[in-house]
Amino acid sequence: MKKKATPLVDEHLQSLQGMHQVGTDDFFYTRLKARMEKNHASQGWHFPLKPVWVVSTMLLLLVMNVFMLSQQVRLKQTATPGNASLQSFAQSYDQAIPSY
Amino acid sequence: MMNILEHTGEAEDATQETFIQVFESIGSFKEESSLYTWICRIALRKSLVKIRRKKARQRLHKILPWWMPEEKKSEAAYFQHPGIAAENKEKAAVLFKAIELLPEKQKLAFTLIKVEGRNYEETCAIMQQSTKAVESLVSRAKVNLQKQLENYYKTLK
Repeated sequence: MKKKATPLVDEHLQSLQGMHQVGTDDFFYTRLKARMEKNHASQGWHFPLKPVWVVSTMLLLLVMNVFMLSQQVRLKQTATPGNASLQSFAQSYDQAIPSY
Repeated sequence: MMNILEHTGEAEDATQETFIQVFESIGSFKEESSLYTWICRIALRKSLVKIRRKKARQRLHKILPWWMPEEKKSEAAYFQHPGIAAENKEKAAVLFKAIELLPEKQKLAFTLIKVEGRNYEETCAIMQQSTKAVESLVSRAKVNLQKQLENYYKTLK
């Protein structure tokens, strides 16, 4: 394969001549140790007991409860006229519906 | 890592993550490669995760510019490598900016070989690629960089 001439790249690569490797600063080890300790501490929380999961589950349960309650209220509202029509139907045949 | 991530803070963060990963999974080291290569591979993987996250943030910034205003600054900024002599800093910054725009694999191969001065054997082991593949990546990277640098200098005129 014939190599294409790349003079600009070669020229810019020249600027990297003498580049020395950069080390970490003096506090790197302290920061690393602190991070590892933090990670170790957070490992105590397992999957279902992690705060984010607990809060999400609680919120989900709350939403489900609100939904169920709203469904119950709606059912009660729609059940009332149905009950009345049942009463009138029973009366027309001289029957009584016990109300206990 | 500094050469790949082109950001001092991110490089330090990735170095910390590499140390932690090495500490946690040294037991699973199978000695299929040297310890040095294994650690380099972990470092490379950590760097790639950071690069991908950065690109995702930049894409998000393009869609929602008001969401992360500081992202625009980091996108436009030129990386000043602390290990380069002052008289070469300007040219090196232009080169690093052009390298940043390369496709992922080309960027890695070019940085490891041309910027860091590693040999092909070592680079192939770290990248887990064949010598031919790495040679091809470096060659394509050079062509792409040449085009980018030409465009850069044209816009300056």
